[in-house]
Amino acid sequence: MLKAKELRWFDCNCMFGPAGQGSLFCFENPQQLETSLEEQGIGEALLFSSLAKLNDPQLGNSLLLEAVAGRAGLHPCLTLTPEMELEEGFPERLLAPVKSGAARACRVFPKAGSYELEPWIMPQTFSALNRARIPLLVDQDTVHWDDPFDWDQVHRLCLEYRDLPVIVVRQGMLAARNLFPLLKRHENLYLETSYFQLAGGLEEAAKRFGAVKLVFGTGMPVFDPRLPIAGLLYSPLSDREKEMVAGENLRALLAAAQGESL
Amino acid sequence: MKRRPRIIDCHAHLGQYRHFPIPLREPERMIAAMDRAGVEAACLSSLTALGADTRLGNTQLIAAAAAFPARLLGWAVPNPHRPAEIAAELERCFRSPWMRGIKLHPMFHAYPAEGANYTPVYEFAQARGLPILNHDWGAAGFLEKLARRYPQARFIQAHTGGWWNGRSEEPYLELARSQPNVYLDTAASIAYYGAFEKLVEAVGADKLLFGSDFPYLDLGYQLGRVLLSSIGEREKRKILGGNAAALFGLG
Repeated sequence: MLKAKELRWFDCNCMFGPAGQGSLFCFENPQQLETSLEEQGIGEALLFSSLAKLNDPQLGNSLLLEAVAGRAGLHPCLTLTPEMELEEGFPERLLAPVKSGAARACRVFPKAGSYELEPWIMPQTFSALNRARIPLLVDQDTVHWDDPFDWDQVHRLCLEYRDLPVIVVRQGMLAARNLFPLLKRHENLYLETSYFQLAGGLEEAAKRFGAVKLVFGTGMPVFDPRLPIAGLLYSPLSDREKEMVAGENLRALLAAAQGESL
Repeated sequence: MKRRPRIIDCHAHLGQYRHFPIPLREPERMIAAMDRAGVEAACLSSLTALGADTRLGNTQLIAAAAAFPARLLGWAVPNPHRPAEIAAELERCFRSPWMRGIKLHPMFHAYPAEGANYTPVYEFAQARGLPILNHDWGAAGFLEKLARRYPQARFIQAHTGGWWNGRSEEPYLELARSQPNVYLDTAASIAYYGAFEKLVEAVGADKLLFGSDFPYLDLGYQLGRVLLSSIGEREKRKILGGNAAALFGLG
């Protein structure tokens, strides 16, 4: 069996900034974050801003970009909200960090932000990301596996924007019934692995749809990264498949993105 | 070279579940996953027994345990809605040499944890010095009374050692630390970063049992919480298998 340090881990699901909701840990500065990632053997992480999610998307995005600028393993992920594309200067100003390569992906929080994740909610933004193949992470604030998740919205989003890589984060065992039919149907749909704890689930997903559909994530600093790390290491996936899930799949998605074309 | 810890899973299941398909439902595939994760034995309760048919589920469990001796152990499940049958059903189950305790699930059985119909269960466990694993005993004060009234029985509060967030008030932590016959297991899908180390500090390694909810949950994921934690090796050995071996009378 591969050891954790033999894999090049890239966490697609990591939060930066003060949490304000009493989780045990939060990464208030890049040094704290880098120390924690190093402790877990994770070399790179795609980060969203807690401030952008919980209060002020624009300010949170800006502070995140500023805080981690020039740090090789830390990749900002912009938080998007529907009102952004109604503002003056859209899309140039909003998507400028993606165009310049300062941000590598985007993320939406429809539940935390109280909006519908429908194709019509941010049509220009989604169309631009679709053209440039910028990954979009969909976070429905799942804590427990039986929390409600609107799979039909994900279906419509994937259907409307077929070149948009959509990564659903922190989905548990119910994904086996709801997500699997969508993974079969949509080439542009991916599952982040932090919470997919169904016994044999990674193996089943890889066998049916290919390990290329699985993207490693942790949910740090709220959730314990050691579960998805051990889950992948102990899974019966081949060493090659484990390398893909641990980091290569995400690197490939980011490499295929054409932010400069925005 | 460091000896690998002995791993005994105190909280596992057998069968199928209504909310999602379980790929590893056959005992053969469960054993393969246990081998891969280095798990010596798992103590199972039947999901069928916790669901539609107590007797059928227990019978399936007895057969699975017989097919994989010393690897698959059993929790017998009583039906609280048929109290008059409980003693006889437990007697039947414990004719299997691999049965190790009794599993209660008030939520699945739609019967209150404090209900009087469970009294024959406690008496059976007290007479034989058996552990009882409950999905949730309800109020910690209730379990404290039971633990004092039935000192030969061992009481395990499931999941609490897993989902505790490391900061909220949780009376079960103090109860497990102070009451000799009360334990917590670690099985839970939710795991908060840093909470496990705080749990061990709060409860003590002697009163925590590794549980996974396997194959409902994945063994690898659940082992990560303990194996990759920063607690000491001695504490890991107790939690992963030492405590369960003593509780189940395994050599």
